[in-house]
Amino acid sequence: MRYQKWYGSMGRIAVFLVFVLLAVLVILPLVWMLLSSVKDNTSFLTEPWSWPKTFRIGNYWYALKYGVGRYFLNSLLVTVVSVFLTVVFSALAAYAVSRFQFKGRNLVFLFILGGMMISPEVNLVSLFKLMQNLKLYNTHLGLIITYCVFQFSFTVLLFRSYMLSLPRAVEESALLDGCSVLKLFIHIIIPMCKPILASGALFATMHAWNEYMFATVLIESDSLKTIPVGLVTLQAALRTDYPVLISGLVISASVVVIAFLVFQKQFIRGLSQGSIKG
Amino acid sequence: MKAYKNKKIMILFLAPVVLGLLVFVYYPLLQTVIGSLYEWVSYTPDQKWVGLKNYGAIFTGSGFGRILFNNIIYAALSVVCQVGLAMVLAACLEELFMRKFQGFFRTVLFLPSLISMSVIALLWKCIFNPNTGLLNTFLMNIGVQNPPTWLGDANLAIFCCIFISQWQYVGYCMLLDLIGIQKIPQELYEAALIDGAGSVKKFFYITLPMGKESMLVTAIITVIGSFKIFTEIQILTGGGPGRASEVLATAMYRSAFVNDEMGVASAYAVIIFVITLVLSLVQMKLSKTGGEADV
Amino acid sequence: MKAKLVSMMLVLGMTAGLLAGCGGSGDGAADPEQSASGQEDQTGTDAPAEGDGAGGEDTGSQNAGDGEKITLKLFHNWINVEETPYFEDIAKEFESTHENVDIVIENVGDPDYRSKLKVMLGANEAPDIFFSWSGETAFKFARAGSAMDLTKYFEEDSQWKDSFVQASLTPFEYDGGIYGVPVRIDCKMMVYNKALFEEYNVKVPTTYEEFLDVCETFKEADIIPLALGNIEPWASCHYISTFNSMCVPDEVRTGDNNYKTGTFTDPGYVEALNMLKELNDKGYFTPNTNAMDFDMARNDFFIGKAAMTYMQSIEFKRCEENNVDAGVFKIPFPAGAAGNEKLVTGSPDGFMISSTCKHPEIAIEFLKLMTSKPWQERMITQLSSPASVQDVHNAENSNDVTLQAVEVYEQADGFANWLDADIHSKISEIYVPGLQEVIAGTKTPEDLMGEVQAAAKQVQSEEEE
Repeated sequence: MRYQKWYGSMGRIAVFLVFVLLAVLVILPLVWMLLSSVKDNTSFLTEPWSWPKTFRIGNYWYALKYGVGRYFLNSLLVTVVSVFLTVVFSALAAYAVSRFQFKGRNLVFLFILGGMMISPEVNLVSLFKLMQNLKLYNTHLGLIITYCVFQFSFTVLLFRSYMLSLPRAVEESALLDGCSVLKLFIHIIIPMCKPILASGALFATMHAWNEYMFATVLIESDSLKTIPVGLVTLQAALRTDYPVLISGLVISASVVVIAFLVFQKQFIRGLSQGSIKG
Repeated sequence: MKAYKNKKIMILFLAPVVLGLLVFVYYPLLQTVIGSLYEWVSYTPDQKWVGLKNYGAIFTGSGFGRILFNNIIYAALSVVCQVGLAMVLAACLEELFMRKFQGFFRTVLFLPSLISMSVIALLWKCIFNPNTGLLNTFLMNIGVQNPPTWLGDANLAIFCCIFISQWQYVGYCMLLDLIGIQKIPQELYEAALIDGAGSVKKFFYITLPMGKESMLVTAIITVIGSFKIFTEIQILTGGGPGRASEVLATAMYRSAFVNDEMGVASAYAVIIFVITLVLSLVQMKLSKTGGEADV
Repeated sequence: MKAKLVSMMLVLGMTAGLLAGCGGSGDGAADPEQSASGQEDQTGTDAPAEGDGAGGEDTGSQNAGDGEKITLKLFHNWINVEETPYFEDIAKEFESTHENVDIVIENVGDPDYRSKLKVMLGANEAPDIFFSWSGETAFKFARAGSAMDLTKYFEEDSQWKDSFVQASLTPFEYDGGIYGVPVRIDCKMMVYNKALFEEYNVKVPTTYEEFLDVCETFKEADIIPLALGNIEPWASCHYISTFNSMCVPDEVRTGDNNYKTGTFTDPGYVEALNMLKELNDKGYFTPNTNAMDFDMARNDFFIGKAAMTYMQSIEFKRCEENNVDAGVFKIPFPAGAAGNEKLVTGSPDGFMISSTCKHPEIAIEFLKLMTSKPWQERMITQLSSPASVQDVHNAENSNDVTLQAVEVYEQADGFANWLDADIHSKISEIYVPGLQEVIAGTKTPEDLMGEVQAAAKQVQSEEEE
């Protein structure tokens, strides 16, 4: 018995140490990124492990000036609009497939779900051609549409199962009172669905904020680039000034990280409602 | 419910999603399939029918084996880490003695998944730098002679990319598993405790069986993701050195936007499509989300 | 059945109506965004965002509508922070003398430039004026009919034509026509750190053996002899461009570069690869060069950790910026090699006009402004890019390094173009990444050339079909 106890506590210490190690593995690069962002180029290259001797906050101004600020606003715009449209349109469609009775409903639902099976990568080349023909190439709108359509299927699926689980009593009495479907949707369904809308928005945000492939192919003007692509461009344009590049990385990473730390509770609640890997 | 039979409104509600998918997902897909049967370049409208030649060129090309190997090893290791390891970690965090620290470790390990892959890739590119990077300067300081060149080593490059991907996502998967475990009825564990089951037994007899289905789904989603992998490879190695870390998506990108072989690129796209389609069907079958089980 | 059909038609009709509605509202939503993004950015680069919409519509019909506002789209890859203002200023000057012309500038960084350009030429929104390297890169556009033959504009204005360094026009000539206007000359020179050379009592080498000796001296002194970051293999490709021109007879090499006749069977190609391999195996390149970022390696030179680096003339100003007192030399010709000693590795870069351009005469006027002396001088002083026009370099506007380079290429027989710009993309797809493997030792030079030969054969057979 005593042996077992000893064995057990050793195991616990080992588990704890493993977690500490993993945490260090995550935190170290991030802290290093933070410290490197204020170094000067020479000490960045020659003493990667050293504490910065001077704190060159100017690196951040430089990064913002040379595009990161603009890329950031572009990303913000594309993300906000595409997330909004994704959530609104998906909610409408999910509502339709979960409530309306019509022939071919299953077919329509399958059609929507089918979109999940088509990975965006497959459509890269032809979507690119299509965007050119529609004059949406090199516009934010083109990027927004792309982010929406590839998020629709998943989001509709998410919303639909939630809507199916909602109690119908309120709707029914509202409809009996002569409330129009649109009003019902806006004033009753949407408020009831808030938690799931939030998780849908969450997944859409992570997708739109981080997307790289379409952003690199569909956008060409520097002034329209989003952060993930802009940073790669910045690396080329800055040539050797790595700390400035790293400041750019810090700026783009910190916003999401801070937002997460502030909204952590809501975030995890959202995840637990739609606990599917995005 | 007469209101729910109003076709006009129904169509209005469905239109944006259905049309969006039709125009920007299904139609381009059809174009891709057709395009894979032609030889064409992006800067002239001429197209030449070549049948299945583009596919032949891919399958007989010397690099295809390597590409497939890279995608498969990517998938295998991702499943091990993001499904297996993440589950074990989640179960450990749920252990009583870890509860105190759960919040901290959960948050810390989750952080990387919030940061965009291109940021992470650029960051690790600096860390992996063989001469001045964080990693090798550390190794040299602790006395390692000739540390590996990481991204410059044909055998290691793909594993570096895989590592970074795990670095980003293990914490995320762990969080999902944690949520899953917390949904398991507590009575089961209490009963097990009364029976004198230890942590390991609890894991194998309760946590795993209860989480089996969701793990299977996660596994398939992870595998599908592995066949679409692009950003980290493109930024870290561009498929190099040589072609050692090439994957399907970077090969497609290269054919389309570097080599002017849009037909070959389309054929790559169709190959990706077929692989992910089959896997998705399997997943839908297993998870039943696609079926009518919950209608 | 019929009823079903009718209702289906109805559905279709309505969805179409909705689509139109949708598109409309979508556009409306996008407009304020665009102007919003325009406002926060006062640098003037937001012009493309708005000009683009106009550019798409200006073709033809709209022209007659509101005055004769002409929009010319210019696409280039000079994205460094000092370079972009140059184009903005030149566009401003041009617009001030041509009130009805609006020059819209778009740019994208180098690794993506080639692919983006091709893609744009295929689109309806092809740029009117675009940057291009010379050689095969330019020929490809000429062949596909995407670029305009500019010969007649050169003929019309012989004074303009004569103002160029004549050798810089040749690499834009295809099938008897001139397809591009060279604006700068980019050539590769070995740049060395004068202070280090003095410190170690080393002289500029005049033979290839001496060059190797110099490398050896620095290696023994624990200084990187040749800074090279080859994680993107075009870096070593520039060495191979030089070595090929040294080891392969001129006619053979130019024959091989033409994909219709290319075989790559000359033993000189293997020799060239061996020269590259030797430099690496002896430890003269930056260690682990295949894993090194190009710029990170370059930085070793600027901070004095490396003695030499193979540099493009358009980068020379970076020596001054980093306070390195630098000199240049051509890599000495190995005794007895079969190639042409009097070639300079490099090429003129220039602008081409796309065949869809509605106003080529205005585009030409713009390029004439760009190749006029004042703007070429400004290009020299601001960007320190060697000019494509004769007699503009002097001690006042150019740094020493550039002047030395100009001297070298003025004496040269011509240019040995960048290998990756000069050969068919299906061949360079094998050749260029293969250089990493040769350096790493995972592929022998013979094997690589074998693969290149096979690729060349395949390209030929495909083109014959």
